[in-house]
Amino acid sequence: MIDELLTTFRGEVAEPDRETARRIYALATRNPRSRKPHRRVALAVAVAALVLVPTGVAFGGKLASLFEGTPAPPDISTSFGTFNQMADLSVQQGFADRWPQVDVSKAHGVIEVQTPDGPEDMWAAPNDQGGQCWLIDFANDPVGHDGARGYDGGCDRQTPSSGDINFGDFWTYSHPDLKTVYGSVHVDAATVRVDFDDGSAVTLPVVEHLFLTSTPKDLKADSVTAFDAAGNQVAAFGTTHG
Amino acid sequence: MGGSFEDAFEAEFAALHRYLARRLGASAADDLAAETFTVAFRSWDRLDPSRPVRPWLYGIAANLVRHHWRRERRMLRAYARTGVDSVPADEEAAADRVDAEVRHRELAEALAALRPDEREILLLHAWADLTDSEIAAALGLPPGTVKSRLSRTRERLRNQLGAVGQEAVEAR
Repeated sequence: MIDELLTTFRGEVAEPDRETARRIYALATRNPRSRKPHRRVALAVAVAALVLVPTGVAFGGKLASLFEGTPAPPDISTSFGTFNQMADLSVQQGFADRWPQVDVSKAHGVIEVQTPDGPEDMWAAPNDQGGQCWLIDFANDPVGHDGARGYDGGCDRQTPSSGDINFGDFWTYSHPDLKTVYGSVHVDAATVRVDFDDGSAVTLPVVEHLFLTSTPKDLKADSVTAFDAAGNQVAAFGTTHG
Repeated sequence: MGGSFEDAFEAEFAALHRYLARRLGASAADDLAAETFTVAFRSWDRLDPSRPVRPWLYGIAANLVRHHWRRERRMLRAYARTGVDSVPADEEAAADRVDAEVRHRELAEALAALRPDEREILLLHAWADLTDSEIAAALGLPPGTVKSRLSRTRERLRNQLGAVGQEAVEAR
């Protein structure tokens, strides 16, 4: 009975037509103008930052913010550039919402976490809708065939319709033992606590409204609770919070 | 995975778009499918060619859908409350839809009441036709966890829809 009901519920929704397929294929495979090499610039900048900014902010016994503010290397800028090309195309091709345009010149590092597969970085740049766009990549991975980097990314707008906290997770075949948990907080918060489905939890710093961590792949984040600098809960979202 | 991105797009796009459209409507499906395949294209040459592409694509999509949990729940509850589903449907199906409406409104309420991860697993199974192991791969969960959550979710739905289910059985 359940299966029959589920099958018929919205069962009349049709597959998209060829024109929709064509424009989405064009959007997804849009190549950036130039192919940019690699990562060494980012590492050099990061090393320079370590030298020039010796007072990283301590968090939970770990240095959390030395990466913050690192200017984005060319391949990361290229990746943010593809966001804008998608935004342009989405307008040209009649998508319902206007996608935000990223200010690529302001792309910078926000959070770097250490994983068994090397550093994993979250980069961000402001967008023209009052929010920011972000991108996550593993620092030691090669640049993609389109000259861009990053496994996951997205954009917020000034008034996100989906609440005070957004979070997500992803894993990739390139890093099969790891899961990335990331998100954004749209209230003033200093930390978030991420609760996992095995009962464990981790507290993370919120940097520029964003947070990031890497976990073993089998863990599933159930909920995220945000706290202000005084430790007061300011927002919560997830399967236990609704 | 083996084939080209183009092959994968050709093979998976229509079904994935329809899955997304059933969850959030055609307009959101356009955006989410575009984002899914953009992420896929960007990562394509870094992927293990021996792995199946389907669960990976649905994993990307699931992660994007996750940002729309509240919206999906609102849409389901609105349908349950008003009988008007904001997910568009074609006119030919309208008559059947009236017939099924009561049961579907009950189902919409039950789906809205599920935890987001339960709903994700259930709908990947029911609408995307993913196997337990494909869902496990898509969501990065152990297959045993998927199996037990799916079973538990179906049991919850059965309990919530008990009266409706009984009507359906008697009508046969």
